[in-house]
Amino acid sequence: MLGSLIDGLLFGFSYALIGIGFTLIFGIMQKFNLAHGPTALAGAYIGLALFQLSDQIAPSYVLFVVAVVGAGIIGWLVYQVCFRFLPKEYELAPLMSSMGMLILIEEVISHLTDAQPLEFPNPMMYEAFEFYDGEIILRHDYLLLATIAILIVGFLYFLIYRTRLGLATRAISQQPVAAQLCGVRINRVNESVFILSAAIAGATGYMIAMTLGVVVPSMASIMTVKGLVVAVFGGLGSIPGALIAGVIFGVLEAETNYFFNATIRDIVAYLVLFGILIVRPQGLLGKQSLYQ
Amino acid sequence: MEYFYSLITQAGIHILLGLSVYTVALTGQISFGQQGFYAIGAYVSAIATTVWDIALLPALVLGMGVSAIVGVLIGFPALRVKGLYLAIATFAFGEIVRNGLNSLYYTREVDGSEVGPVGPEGFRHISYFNNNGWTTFDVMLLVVSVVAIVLVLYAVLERSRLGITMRAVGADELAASNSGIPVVWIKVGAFAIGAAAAGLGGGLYAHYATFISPLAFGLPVAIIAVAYVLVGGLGSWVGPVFGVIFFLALTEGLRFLGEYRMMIYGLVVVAAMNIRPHGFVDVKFLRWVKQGIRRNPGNERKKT
Repeated sequence: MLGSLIDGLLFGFSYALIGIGFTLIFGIMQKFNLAHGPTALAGAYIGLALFQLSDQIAPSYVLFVVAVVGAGIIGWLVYQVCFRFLPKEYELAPLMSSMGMLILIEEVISHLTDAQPLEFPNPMMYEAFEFYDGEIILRHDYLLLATIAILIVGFLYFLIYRTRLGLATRAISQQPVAAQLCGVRINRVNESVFILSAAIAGATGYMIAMTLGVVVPSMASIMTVKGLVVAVFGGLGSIPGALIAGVIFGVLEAETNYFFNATIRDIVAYLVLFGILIVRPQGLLGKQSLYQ
Repeated sequence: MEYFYSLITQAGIHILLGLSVYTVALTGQISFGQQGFYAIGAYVSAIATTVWDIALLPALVLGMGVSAIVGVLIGFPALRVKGLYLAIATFAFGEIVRNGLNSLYYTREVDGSEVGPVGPEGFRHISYFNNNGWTTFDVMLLVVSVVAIVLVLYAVLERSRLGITMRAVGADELAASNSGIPVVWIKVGAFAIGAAAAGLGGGLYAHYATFISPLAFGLPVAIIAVAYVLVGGLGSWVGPVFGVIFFLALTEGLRFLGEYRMMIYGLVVVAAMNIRPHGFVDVKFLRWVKQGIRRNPGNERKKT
């Protein structure tokens, strides 16, 4: 039980990272990017492609960087195609167009890989710290995942509170029109945030694929759903909210899976989400909405 | 011919599904949970005809009623939540229903074989049409007439006071409530009407497909139901009908592309949203059509 608790806690950071991707974009544009999950998965596949092309000798950190850059480029494309030319005040149009992008990316990946699950290189497979005679196991790859997640959150805080881009981001998220009147180039800032969130998606996708040791195209929509659930649970636009929600979800899923089975796990997870939203319609750490 | 009959049947069932999202969308909310009501309608009416031996029409009405009641019960707490948050809350509801059906066991022995839902294995032998000698054509007629009745009801609803009130809530909730509109009741009412439409569609689907399983009510159904409405447009009930026909034509028309079909499908959705972000049949389009109708008789009069 304690073992699954720790596993859930550490793996929860991956949920948190996907949730942060959604939350970043919602915070600045008040829109969902459903193509976030496939972007993450595409990052993982790009890393895997390089690994295969280099005769399986490319070291993992190189693959990681390539995955991040590749996902960033895909994110830029998604922004251009699904968000840039759609009306700014209507949030349902980009919801649908990014849905189309979700199908497109997922299909391209399944076409290129014949929809077969592929093995993913994991240099830390089976490495773990053991305490109390293997009673408690800390897997190295899970620890690395959590470390990267915390580093990314730290980096985001630095970016948002210490740089000009961060200042522009905060200005737009509070008053888009006023920010534009003050000379903030909204399109440029949106684009940067989008690329940033896609790069985070690439890192997330790579780490998830590495810890699972396998990639399947259908993971794209699962990642989108989990990310949305975590972002909404934590409160849209709130980075600490997404972090906490991700970890809570990881623990909740691991424990219910340990005590019951996968069906009960999903029921409990969604019941908790539903309950939280009814008690706090703005999520755990979200801001109050306009009407309340 | 059989192919076209079943195509039209599918279109009719999906129109009901699209209308259920459309009703909720009229009040300004987007629901990713209508597949939950679709599932409830399907399971309740299928259990009614197979396990309880009830005739088809009462069974469909029963499925519809149970869906609507669940809609009201869920609607009151859920509609505290707004906007994209509601989209996720309703999706959570849909997933709860689906996973609940995964652990639903309720069978009865008929002629030596077990009928009824068997958890994740699904619900086999919903053979009402088969047992009563209905052909594909009869099934199509049933679905088409049911959908026609529902569409007439929607056309009436949209011109009625209730329909206009729903649109007012969707346009600006605060202004609507200041004008004395009971916003909560209107929203819950729309949710219940939508749930009933989805439940009816689910009942027809269960009997048409003869086999249903929890897998058939997951994320893809939620997405396609919302897609019908957003691509079709929110201007009038024609929107979702158009959306269904558009997507059905797309999936059937792109069959020759083989495995590239879904890729093109995704591209077309992206392109459609870029060209008409508010959907094809949006408010502007309707105004244009109405002006066109009004202008033409005038022109003729001038000529004569």
